[in-house]
Amino acid sequence: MAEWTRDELVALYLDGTVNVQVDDEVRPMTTEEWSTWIDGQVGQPKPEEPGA
Amino acid sequence: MTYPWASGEVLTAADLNAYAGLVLVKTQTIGTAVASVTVSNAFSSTYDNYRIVIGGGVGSTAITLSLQLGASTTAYYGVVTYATYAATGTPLSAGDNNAAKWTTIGYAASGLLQASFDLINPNLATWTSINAASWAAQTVAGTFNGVHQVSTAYTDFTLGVNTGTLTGGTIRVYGYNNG
Repeated sequence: MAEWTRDELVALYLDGTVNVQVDDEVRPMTTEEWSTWIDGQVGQPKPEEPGA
Repeated sequence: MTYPWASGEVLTAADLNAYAGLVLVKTQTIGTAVASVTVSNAFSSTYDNYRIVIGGGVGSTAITLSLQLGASTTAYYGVVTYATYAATGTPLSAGDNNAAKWTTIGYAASGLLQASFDLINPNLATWTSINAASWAAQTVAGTFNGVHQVSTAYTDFTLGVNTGTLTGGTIRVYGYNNG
């Protein structure tokens, strides 16, 4: 099964384009938050279904 | 006054409060390209049990939705059981075994964002369970059930994703009237 690479994720979700929301406040992730968020997905399978 | 009401009887506020079933507690619109949405002050001592319904938006890719109570990042247990629409093969399962969150409580894709589930006792200082989190994906559908084994009362929750982002849609929190 294909897995996410960092390059793929960075290309899909550029720094500054991913947000976090608390109630009605939506703000871009900081670069540090974004990098951590990207790293957390590297190596994960690209499932279309849970557990697939 | 006792239900069922009779013609001509005058309903009071107390009657309506006593007999309301599900009460809308909070509505939260989801923003654009968000990786998480925290909904604060969703749970209170007014209601013990809640139904949360999420719909109307889309995902940037095929996404399983996660749920976290307050700031707690441990002791989430649960299992999702799912099968294909073709109904071929044995139904499959995946689990959260002392995970940092419940990981399969809903689903999003380019054409939908969807979750619907009950939370039992999130604002009581006991374990919280999630029941009947039913979802439908592109080729499979399933149901998630689980328990958070921490005896803490929570007021907030965070909807998250396993990958990608969410755009649009609404989170609605309903309380089950304690009566």
